[in-house]
Amino acid sequence: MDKSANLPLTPHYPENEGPEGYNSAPAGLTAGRLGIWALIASEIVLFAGLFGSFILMRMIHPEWSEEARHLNLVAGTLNSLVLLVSNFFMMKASGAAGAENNDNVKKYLVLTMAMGVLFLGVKAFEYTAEFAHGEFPTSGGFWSFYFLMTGIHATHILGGLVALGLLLNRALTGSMGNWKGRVAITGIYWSFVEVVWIFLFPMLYLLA
Amino acid sequence: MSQDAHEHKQSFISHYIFSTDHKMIGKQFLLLSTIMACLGGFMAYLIRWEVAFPNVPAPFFGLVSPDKFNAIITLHGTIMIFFVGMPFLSAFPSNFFIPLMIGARDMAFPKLNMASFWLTFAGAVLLVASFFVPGGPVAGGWVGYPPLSASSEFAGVKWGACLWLLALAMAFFSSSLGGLNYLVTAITLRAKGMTYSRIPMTVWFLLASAVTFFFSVGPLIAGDFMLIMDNMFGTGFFLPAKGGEPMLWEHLFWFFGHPEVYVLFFPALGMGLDIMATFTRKPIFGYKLILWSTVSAILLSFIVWAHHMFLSGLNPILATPFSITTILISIPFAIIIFCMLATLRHGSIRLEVPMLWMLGFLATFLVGGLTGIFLGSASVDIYLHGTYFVVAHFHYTLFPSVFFGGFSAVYYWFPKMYGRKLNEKLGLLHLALTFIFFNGTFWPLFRVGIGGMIRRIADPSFYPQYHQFANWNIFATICAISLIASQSVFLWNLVLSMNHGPKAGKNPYQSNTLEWLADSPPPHGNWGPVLPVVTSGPYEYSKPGESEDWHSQASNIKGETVHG
Amino acid sequence: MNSTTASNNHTMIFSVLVVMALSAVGVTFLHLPIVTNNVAIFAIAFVMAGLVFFQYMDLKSEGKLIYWIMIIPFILFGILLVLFIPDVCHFSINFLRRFF
Repeated sequence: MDKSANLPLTPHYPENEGPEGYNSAPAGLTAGRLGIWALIASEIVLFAGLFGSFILMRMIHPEWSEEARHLNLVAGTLNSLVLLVSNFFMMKASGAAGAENNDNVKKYLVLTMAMGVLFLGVKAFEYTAEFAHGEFPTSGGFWSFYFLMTGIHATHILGGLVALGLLLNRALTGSMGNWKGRVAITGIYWSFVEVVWIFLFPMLYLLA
Repeated sequence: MSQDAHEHKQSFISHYIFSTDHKMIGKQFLLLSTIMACLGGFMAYLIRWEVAFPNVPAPFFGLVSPDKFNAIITLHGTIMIFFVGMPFLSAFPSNFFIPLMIGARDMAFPKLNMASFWLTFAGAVLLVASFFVPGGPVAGGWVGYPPLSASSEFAGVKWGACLWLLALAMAFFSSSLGGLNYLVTAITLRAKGMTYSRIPMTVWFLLASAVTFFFSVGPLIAGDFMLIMDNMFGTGFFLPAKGGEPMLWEHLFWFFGHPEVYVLFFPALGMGLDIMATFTRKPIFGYKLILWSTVSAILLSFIVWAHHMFLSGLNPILATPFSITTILISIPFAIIIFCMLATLRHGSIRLEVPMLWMLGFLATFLVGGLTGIFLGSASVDIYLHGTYFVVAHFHYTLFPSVFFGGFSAVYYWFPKMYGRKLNEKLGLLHLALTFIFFNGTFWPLFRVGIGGMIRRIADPSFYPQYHQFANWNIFATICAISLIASQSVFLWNLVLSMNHGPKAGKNPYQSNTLEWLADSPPPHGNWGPVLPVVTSGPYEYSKPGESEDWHSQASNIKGETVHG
Repeated sequence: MNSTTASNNHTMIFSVLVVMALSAVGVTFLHLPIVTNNVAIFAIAFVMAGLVFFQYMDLKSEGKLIYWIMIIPFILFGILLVLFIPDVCHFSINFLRRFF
């Protein structure tokens, strides 16, 4: 049953106008794209506060490098590769959405979400291993920062998965319609989450 | 024409409660901030009562014991800044006036706009809920310095502190998402012809406030989560006993804290400039000069924060650079204030109620700004830090911005919001009472502060050296009580004129900006079928060789020429 | 860039990123002195981040406005670090004392 019939009809607007008003954005920039960039900018400052505090405390407590040895390096590296792969699929999905090839969009969205879930799975595995070894957020400064930073990052991945789910739900109705641009926007958000892990991984696992 | 031009029937719920219309959300913010202002005002009364008459039960409340006093000053600060200042000055004007002043029909993301109101509302509910939680509300000061605020064994408050932190997190998400929405709206939805140099000053400063907020709030959200984990799970981010660093919270808090006070100050400046231009019938002095001063003030505001921490174990080497940057930042604001004064010169000034409120803002804010320079330099701050001088300073900056600036905006745009004008006489009475009693309350605090009285002390009679200030404190308390009482004049005026005030036309003050071309109150979609096309700048007042002394920004919509 | 060059462009970038991620882990097994090890790791991280920002997010086709919005948080990150560290870290105070 083709569900795209009950999508809201877009009323006819005069030249260059939308429901909210006249489009005065500079060329090639849409409201959604500018919005996601501003959101990423404020998120970067959030992670800057987190990373700044961690680097600061890491310089005060050199003994944290011993505790960093308990981290499972293999799982961390695997997670980095998983995120790279999911980012690759995400870019393919936004390319396919641009080319209005709905089957590819569905395929790559599912693959991206699968990789995101795999990342969370590996993270959950790591957490349970650490809990088993008696390393909880309360057992020392390094562990509280570790669980805080990876926890906030995992929450951002969850948020991304929710957005991808909404996109997939729309893709399953047959055609992306005017949601076409939103795949690229979610792609930008997903790449931002990837960049955060690119910094988080060496900071936690690899620092001497 | 378009599908949404006709007024589709909205149920009460979708029209008032879950509305995505930017005007309704603006009014919701106004209502929330008024209710929280009453709550915060009541707490101010309790604080002043306890300081003037220690250990005497306060009417309507009972005895304000020291631990209750700590909780009350914490909540007074948090409520007044995050649930009165931010909604009343940054959220309400941005929601209501940015789309109207740039000729748009609504915000770029209407649903996100609604979500940002309900996040602030949830924060307010959480904060009020923390009164009734076992252990009582939070008592660590509105700045919440650890280790006092980091664990319940010190402050005796566990759930209250966690609810307070969650309420703060809600307010931060709401204001930064809102700010993001205002930025995108102002850049992508301007009317045709509205170039960047034709944007009115109110919109510019509301954007400056939004951008400053969402660039500075990040570290404090991180600190907020750390403090929640410290309180709830027993981690040791800020507890020296567990290897934490209390100074880390102070850095994270004040990195956000100082830009936050400018976030509260910018809207008052922007609205003040527009109101001054309208009531002096004269273009504002130095449009570009003001804009670049604002940009430099924003950049400087990110490197001044440690002047709050001169006495809390900051590395003395850092005291010098932060004193220098703090004194430096007073220059851009001085330029803006001088541009305001230059706007008044040679203007045919109409002393109507909004203009008088704005002049009140200018007068009182100057006192606050100048005393800031004392506190900014480390050498003086070593003596004045933590005294009532600081309390008087920040009330002389926050109160004029939020109340004088905010009330001048409400009196100026009330005809546009409700279609009726506020009563002039009641407005003047309200201004006179507020001006007199505000100065009466906080001027003695400068004297008491220089005398060395430390703030946040519940029972000053316990310390012999403060007995000399008893009369000053009693005088300040009497003025504070009458200040709070005189706000009822405004509430009465609000209720009275909302339905019975004199009918105001589209443009009662003959102003140029776009919102005065829409009907008052503007319908859904603001402009009806045709969007305005902007042909001139916002400040084309008394152009030589023109019959009318004003020239509306958009020529394709017929505004009113005669005085409303 | 049309879709064909875009797709193999993505695969090429993806492989470069994978190589760099593995090399960052490899660096730690060389047991270099602490400072060089950390600097090398963060250099790789910055290059990878730059690649993702500039390539995957096709930052090249964005307007000047977006550059400004993205530059400011990194400047703030620098400010946070530069003015955080000397206050709380004892080792940096004697380092700073040489300048004052």
